[in-house]
Amino acid sequence: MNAVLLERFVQEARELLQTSASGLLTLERDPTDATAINEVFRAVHTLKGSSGLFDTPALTRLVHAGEDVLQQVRTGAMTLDSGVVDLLLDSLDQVGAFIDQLDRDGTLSGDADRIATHHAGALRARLAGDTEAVVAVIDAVLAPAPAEWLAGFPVAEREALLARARGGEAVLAVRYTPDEGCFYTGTDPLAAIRDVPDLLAVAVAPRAPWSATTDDFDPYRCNMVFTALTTASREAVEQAMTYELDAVELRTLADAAAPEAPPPPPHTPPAEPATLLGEAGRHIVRTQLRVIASGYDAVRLRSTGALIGNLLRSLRQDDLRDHWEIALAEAIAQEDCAPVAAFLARLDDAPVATAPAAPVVPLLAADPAPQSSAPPPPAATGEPRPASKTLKVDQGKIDLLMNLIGELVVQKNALPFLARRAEEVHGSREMGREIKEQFATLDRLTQEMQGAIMQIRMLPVAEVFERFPRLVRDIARRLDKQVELVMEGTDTAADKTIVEALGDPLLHIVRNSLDHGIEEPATRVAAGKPPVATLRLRAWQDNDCVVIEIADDGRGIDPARIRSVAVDKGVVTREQADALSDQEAINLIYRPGFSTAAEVSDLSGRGVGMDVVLSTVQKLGGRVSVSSQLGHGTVTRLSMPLSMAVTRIMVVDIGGSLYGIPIDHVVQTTRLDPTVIQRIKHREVFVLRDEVVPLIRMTALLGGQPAAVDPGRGEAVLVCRVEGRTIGLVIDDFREGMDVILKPMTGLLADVGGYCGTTLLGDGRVLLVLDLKELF
Amino acid sequence: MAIRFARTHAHFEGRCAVEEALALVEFLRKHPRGKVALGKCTSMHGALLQVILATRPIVSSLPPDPLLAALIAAAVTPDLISA
Repeated sequence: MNAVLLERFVQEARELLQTSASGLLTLERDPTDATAINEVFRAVHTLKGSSGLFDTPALTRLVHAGEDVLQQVRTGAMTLDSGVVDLLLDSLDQVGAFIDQLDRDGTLSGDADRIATHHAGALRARLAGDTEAVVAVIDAVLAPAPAEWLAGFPVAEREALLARARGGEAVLAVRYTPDEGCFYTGTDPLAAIRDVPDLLAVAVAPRAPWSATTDDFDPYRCNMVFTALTTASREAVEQAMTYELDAVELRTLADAAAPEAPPPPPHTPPAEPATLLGEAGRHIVRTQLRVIASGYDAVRLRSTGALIGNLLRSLRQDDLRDHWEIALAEAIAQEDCAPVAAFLARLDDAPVATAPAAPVVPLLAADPAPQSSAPPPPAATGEPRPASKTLKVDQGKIDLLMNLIGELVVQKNALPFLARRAEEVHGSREMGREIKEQFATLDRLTQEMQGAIMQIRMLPVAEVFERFPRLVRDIARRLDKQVELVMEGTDTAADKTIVEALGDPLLHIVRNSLDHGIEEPATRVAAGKPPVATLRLRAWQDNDCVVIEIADDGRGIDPARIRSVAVDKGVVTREQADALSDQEAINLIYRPGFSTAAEVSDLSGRGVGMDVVLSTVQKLGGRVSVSSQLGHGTVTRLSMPLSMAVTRIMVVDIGGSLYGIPIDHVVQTTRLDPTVIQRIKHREVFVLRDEVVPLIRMTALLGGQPAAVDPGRGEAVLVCRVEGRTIGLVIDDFREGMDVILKPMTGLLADVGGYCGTTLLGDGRVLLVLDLKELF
Repeated sequence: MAIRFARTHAHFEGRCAVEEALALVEFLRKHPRGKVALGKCTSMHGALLQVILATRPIVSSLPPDPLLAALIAAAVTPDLISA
């Protein structure tokens, strides 16, 4: 399902990119062309919306930046110069490259975030009134971190880390300047920076100096800048900070010359002798030394104890902490600070060699490759994109092709006439046989062609099913019901017109099921059913029909209630209602104006539901049936023709003219002995399988002279079912059945009732196809 | 599990969330010499860190988390001298 969605997104995106690119070029020539601006904006906006369906934040971010720029152009806040057009085109190319990646790998490459952020930053930098935009670095090789970045770190720590960097280890400096309003958007900058993998050290500083007084201090305006040092790769950092990339700058810690230069001598003396504690730690220790020097104070000593204990814990010096505890206990026992002072003095001088000053980080296998390799230039080089295997063709062209094949079929049907003429008129049997052979081949080819063109118009029902998971979920939540949607046979295909027209009827039925059919969880449990209801959408092919079934396991339809509501609403009289079988009562829900919902909800129950379903489906030549078991659920079944294009008709002879009758209606053909025809008042009827069937003489209806009835064979009667009633059509003679392509009545004939269209016969005659529903 | 405000101490306990920032500022405004105890704080939101950085209260105990402890210690220790 997702793969299908992605495939379509890729196609659509390429088209949209094409549209935007050509629109941009138009705009470059004429920046005031409002149509072009709107076109480009719409394309980019659509692209942004669709991209949100997939987990591609990089793509969305880039397109979003483009949209923002275009929005300003649209509102006139910004004029489009060729610089901006260049930027936009570059970004579109990049989007195109992303789309190619998606198409090929199904995902974006690891550096996509960085590239997108760079392009987006460049675009945003052009936005009027947005001067704070950070243009992220995309440089292949990261610039070395400026000294001021490291100012926040204690000297000793800084030197130790620099030494590691000089030693060839890849150390990245991450400068994270969170947005001022980030606390309101649910961002925790502290947590974000902690997410950076393989952290060595973090420092924090105010962006603007802290105000001297606390009175005007706003705790919810973020004024911090974090600097983190990490041995993680650039990709890993970008991955971790993916939602904050706009606010992040990356630098490498190594000197610019370092990678080329031979490794520096191993014993570069640090500027200050490295100590265990680092600058801050030493500061704490010295301060505490001064504090305890003022004499023994149990309370102060406890506080000192806790502070130093925590300091040691933070440095992961568990051994030293044990010693500290001992010294502290001694001091308290003796009521003298000497043991503590001695310990602190020792601590102050402890060399760094005993332990690393920073949290231990596993040494990474030196792998600077991904950092130094340049990101591939967007779309310019790279392997050629494989040509798209999908064609998008205007539906009109397919229809034209379809019509032409229809003509071919008709023309082909002329050959048997020709063969007969060759035999009868020209007396050449051999010629006739040869024509028939040619006809057989032509017949096969046209049938294959017809099949192929049908395939083009076929769409899987997944097209309409796709929207239901979301819809069912939303409606179920609103109604406080628990529903599991099961979809089966989504790859069943049917003609495009039919699949597309099915959307609304299905929507009505599903809504009805959710609203009226499925009960609240409590009711369901009380009825001994699982609390989660199951709604099943199934599609399958049944001969030349596609059947779609919507089944729920809800409360079912109560025929008694339907009857009484139908009577109340005046749909049927009480007598009629009582005469109906349960199934017939259920079918009442398809009558116009029928709705049992006690109160009108916005979901369904506006009284227009099911009769709309019925009329839509019937218009497409389909059928609807509902079966329901009270307490166990309802099954609605839509049966649609596979294809609209070809209609199977039966040709009949009425009053000397030929007419077509859609075979869907035909129940059977029969010959009636005139003696079995009875009269009820002025109507002729006959009995077929214990059912009284009215007879209609078609010549009386359509004109023409009835042919003389052959007494040996009886009257030709076509038994048809129209709108649930059985009627017998008295005709002159039956002819063959055939597949035809119906042309609707157009022009002056469009208003003539009783015909659903015309088609051509093999000998060139026009055949009128009757619309029995309109006639009777 | 949040900040417990005693008479002169703000005790950070467990996870301290962003909502507490205003209350903390209020507390430190009322008690300019109030103390902040972070010994039981397992994590704090960036906004709280910012309050501590900006107001630099007396920190009577550092959080057990080394990274957080280092950040806070680096910022607030100079004030311990005057304490």
